Amino acid sequence: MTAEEIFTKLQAGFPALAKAEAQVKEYPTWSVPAGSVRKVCEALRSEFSFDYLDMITAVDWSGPVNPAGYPAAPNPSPYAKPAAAPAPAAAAGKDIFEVIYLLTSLSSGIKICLRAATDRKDPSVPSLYGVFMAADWQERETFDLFGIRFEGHPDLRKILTPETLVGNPLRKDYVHIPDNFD
Amino acid sequence: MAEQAPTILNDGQMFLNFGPQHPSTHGVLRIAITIEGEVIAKAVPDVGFLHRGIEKLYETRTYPQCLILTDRLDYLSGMTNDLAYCLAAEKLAGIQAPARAQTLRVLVCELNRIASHLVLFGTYGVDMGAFTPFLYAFREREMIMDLFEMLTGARLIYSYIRIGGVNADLPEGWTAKCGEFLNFFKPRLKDYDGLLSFNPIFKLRTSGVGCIPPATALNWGLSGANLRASGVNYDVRKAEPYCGYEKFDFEIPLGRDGSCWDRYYCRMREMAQSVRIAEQCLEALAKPELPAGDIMAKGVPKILKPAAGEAYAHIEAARGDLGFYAVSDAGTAPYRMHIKAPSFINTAVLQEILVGCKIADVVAILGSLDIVLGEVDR
Amino acid sequence: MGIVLDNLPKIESLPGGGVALTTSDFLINWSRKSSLWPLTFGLACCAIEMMASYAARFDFDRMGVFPRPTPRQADVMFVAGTVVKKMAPPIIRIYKQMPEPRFVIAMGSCANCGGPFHDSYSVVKGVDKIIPVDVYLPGCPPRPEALMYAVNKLQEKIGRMKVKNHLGATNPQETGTRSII
Repeated sequence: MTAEEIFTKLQAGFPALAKAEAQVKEYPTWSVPAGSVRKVCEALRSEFSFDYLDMITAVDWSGPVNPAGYPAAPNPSPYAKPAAAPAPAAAAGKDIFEVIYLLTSLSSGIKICLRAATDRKDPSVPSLYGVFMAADWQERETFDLFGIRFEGHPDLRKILTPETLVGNPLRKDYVHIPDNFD
Repeated sequence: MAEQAPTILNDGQMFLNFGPQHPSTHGVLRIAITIEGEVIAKAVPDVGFLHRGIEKLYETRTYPQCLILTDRLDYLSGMTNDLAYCLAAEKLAGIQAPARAQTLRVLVCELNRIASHLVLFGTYGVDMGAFTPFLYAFREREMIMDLFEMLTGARLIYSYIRIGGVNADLPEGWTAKCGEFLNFFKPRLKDYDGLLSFNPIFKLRTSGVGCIPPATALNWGLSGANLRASGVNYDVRKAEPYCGYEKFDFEIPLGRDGSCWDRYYCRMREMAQSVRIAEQCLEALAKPELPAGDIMAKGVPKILKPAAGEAYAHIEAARGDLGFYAVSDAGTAPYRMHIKAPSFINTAVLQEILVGCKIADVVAILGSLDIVLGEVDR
Repeated sequence: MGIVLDNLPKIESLPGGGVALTTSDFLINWSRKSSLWPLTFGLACCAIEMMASYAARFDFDRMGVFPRPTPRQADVMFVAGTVVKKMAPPIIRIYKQMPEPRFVIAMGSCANCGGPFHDSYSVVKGVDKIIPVDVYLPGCPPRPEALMYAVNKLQEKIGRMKVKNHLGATNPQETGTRSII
């Protein structure tokens, strides 16, 4: 069964499933509405033997990263000329987070990428805990770094960043508050 | 220490901190264990003690500058990290490295795999109480490091694999020295079997301990030797070959019951297969089809600005299935670069398999997963 | 054997044998620096080079350096690797658990100043922000020979310690570079 056939069959059950505009190179990428992520993954797992979750991550599409999110410039040099006029603002991004899932079927070798967009103000996506246990820590990491809530995850708390850190570091508008270790 | 809910201890239970400073945690990992006597009732790994924020740092550095940070992820096998990163950047930019560069990449990655598995062999022996394998492992590793020093100038952190190819071609005398090393190393693996692998105490401590059934391994997303030891035949080099791996002839060792011994022995046999691949690489590099000096793709711009798009590239690193998910917005720095770290995903399985083991088994199981905290925490 | 304070900086044997004269400074410092037991405190990549220096080629044991897993039995702590804010309280606690006289070698550029990750939100910009450091060893990672050189420098520093200044231990100091008068 090829990815196309899986897509057609799945779309019968989930009409909102669509081929994503932004395709990850060489892997079929479909966009899923945030609310039905869990059901789509359950269907992929039970009906089409997608038994391996490779990756869960997120992308913040809201534009260039804020330099105030870093305690220092990446290449401080006493000889550096002061920064020229700030670069013309890149196209203002969309105000969304996109959660990216990568699922593999080991028996057929197909890898599929799913994208679920969620609003930046109150980002929330159903959790895949229970469908794939590989989602456990990766969702905690995405929650820690972006602030996206995964509904249904039994233990959603920080995993990587220090307790004293305020905010979600990988957001583009993260501002770093210096503490006594800096 | 963490914000988690306070551990509620029942009658007869005790709370124990395993780490973050502990000689057997292979880095700064903390496992919060609740024990009843010697048996573990609950184990919660606590990571983040080496979280350097590399994914955030990627967004202010240009693509070549990001390579410096990428080396330091899985510091035991610097070449494989660079390879995964460069494959992702090359996919974004539409660059294809020349054939000689690809073979050189395969060669250094396989040598690095041997070096990394040697560290597992040495430190796993130390964890189990055997100190001698450590000295042998590091003696062999020093030879590989000599080779890498001749080639790249560095012993541990190389930055040899660049976007578009590799940094330098093989110097004079390198092929002979590498062949010498491979001939020296092949019989050593039998020595190691006699020294550690079939040692009765080692076998008692590791066979049948920490068995992970294949369904659990797939569910938790394990990769690398951890998955293959449970019997699942998945190796990225065979499933989605990259850098010309389809031309090389090698086997994938599989385990039977997913015990610690199986995971350890899979890695020992992988070293033998890596030697095979390295020998084939050396033969291929001597042939005229791969002209000397053709190590960098033509037309790689000095300031790399890949077209806007997204790419995912993954390889079979020494730790497992290492992937880089790269998003470009046509700027000089990546817009988003996510590292799919096999060690991070492998560590999560400890929550399930440590329950019911004895404290001494914690060291055995943790060592057999072969995690590197630089990759877990990024 | 007679001990003479503040004179005769080296061991002499008098004619007839059997007697050596030295200062207690020299004797105490010599015994301390010849048997420095470090804590196995590898954090990141520098830990691998530290392990390589304990291994066969760069054998550290010939200098008397033998790793101890617990801080209670260690003299010196090699902070090998990136110090992250989450790890800072354990480092301070471990440093305090070491009995005096205790020394710290900051190994690698991450421990010296934050290294390649100096602009990260979660990295302590140098371990001397949280504990006093005796020797800074640059490198990324420093070679095992460089680590041995750092231990040599520390041995020189220990050789300058004097009994009349706080019995060989310096004033407890919270952070920064430590000078032994």
